[in-house]
Amino acid sequence: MDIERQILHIDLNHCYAQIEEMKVPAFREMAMAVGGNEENRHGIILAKNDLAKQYDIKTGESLREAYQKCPGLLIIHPDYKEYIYFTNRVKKIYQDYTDKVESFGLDEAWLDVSQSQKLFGNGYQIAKQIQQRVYNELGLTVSIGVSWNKIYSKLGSDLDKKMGLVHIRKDNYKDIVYPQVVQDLLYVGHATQKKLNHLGITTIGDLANYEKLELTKKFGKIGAIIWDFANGIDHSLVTTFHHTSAIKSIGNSITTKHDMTNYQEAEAVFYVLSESIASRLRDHQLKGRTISIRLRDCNLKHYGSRQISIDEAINTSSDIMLQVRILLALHYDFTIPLRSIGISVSNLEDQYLERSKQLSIFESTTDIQSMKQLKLEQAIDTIRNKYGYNTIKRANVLLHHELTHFNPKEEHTIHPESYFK
Amino acid sequence: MLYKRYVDVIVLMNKEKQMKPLYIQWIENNNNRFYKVDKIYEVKRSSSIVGGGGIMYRCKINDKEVKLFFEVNRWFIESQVA
Repeated sequence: MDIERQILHIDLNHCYAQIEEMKVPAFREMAMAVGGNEENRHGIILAKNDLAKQYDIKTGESLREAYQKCPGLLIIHPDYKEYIYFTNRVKKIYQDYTDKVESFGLDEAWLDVSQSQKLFGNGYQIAKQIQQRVYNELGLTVSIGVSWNKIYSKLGSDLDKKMGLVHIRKDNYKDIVYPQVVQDLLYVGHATQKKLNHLGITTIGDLANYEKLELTKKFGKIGAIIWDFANGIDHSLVTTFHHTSAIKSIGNSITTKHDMTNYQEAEAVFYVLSESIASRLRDHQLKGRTISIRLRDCNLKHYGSRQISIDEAINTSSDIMLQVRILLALHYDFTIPLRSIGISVSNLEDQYLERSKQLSIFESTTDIQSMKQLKLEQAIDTIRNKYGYNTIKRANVLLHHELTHFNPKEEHTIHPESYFK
Repeated sequence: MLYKRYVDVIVLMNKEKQMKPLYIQWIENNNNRFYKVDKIYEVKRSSSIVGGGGIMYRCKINDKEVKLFFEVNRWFIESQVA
């Protein structure tokens, strides 16, 4: 017998703020937000509680803006280790019901419980049990959407943020889903929303009833995808918990303590980033052939990604820096100071993959040099692993101590994820 | 009113890695006392009303019912404000 798919989407509501509230219940009585460090200029709101929401404080705005709206706002610095610990505990509970748990960031997950119904009841009943257990065992509230596809279940979990539980079935989806505004749909961002509104499409129902062919003509591939999403046509599977997709690129970026006004300063910061990336590449036994840099000036203008591809794959920081220097000299003149920069290495391949190469009779000096460089950097990695990151550094990095005093490899940052992996 | 108080605990850990709290050390006004955990009624994962949570041991200590928690790597009790 064909069982109807039962997909749950579970969302840990304003995750960071809620975990802080759970740890210190007194925070529930005051306007509180989790935010970055103003001094290091990572000063944005990452999550806020309900009282802070009443002051119209938004996730992503700067601490300065937030203080203007609510001078008494309490800012808690994020403790990612704690958040990872608690979100993992929550996911442990999910795994009691199915092994098909696909994380979407720290705080969201899809569960496919189709095959678990004989053991625990239907999707709705399982959702109820999970919600209750997370609340009893961890003191956290989750909102859940239950449906037959991933898109509608995500929509459902967004509808009621206060420990809500929304069941979207084939007999009621038109009543629940269709009246929602179109930007609530996954992959309808700000730009797409504007274009859709221009066509007179404001709700998901409008989109679902629109001519699919017309949408494809206007938006390309994504037009067909969002039309399918609006109609609940999505057969994508929920991956199992231990599934990790292959790494496509490795990158790091940083907003520095003060703006970088010249080539030397930017170079020093790039050195720190390239060391981290090279070390991470080696950790994964990878090498890359495309090096790209990202630049953003102090007016917050992005310069897109500037990239260069080379024949020989590399994974040492000196090789990466060689390319970065070229890119930087080609694409930026420092008339406006830089605020944040980043490097990313893509086009990855296994570091032991020897591509057929004509060897010269005499070993070339560059080969010997790059071997030496690799050994040197591996030695630096070993020293850092044993005695700490700051025990060994490049001299030119020390010249700009203020800018370069950070460790991109260890200071964990959590990246937004893409639905299409 | 209850508040969160971290305490030192003497624990018996068995071969199956299960823990059983035996005594709680209570230091007040330079007075060091050990209270025996007389009975454990229930063990389960739970959050605490004083914040945080972990593995909760609902037990009888000094003729009173007390909730003792093992939170990540240390112990606390929900304690009465004197």
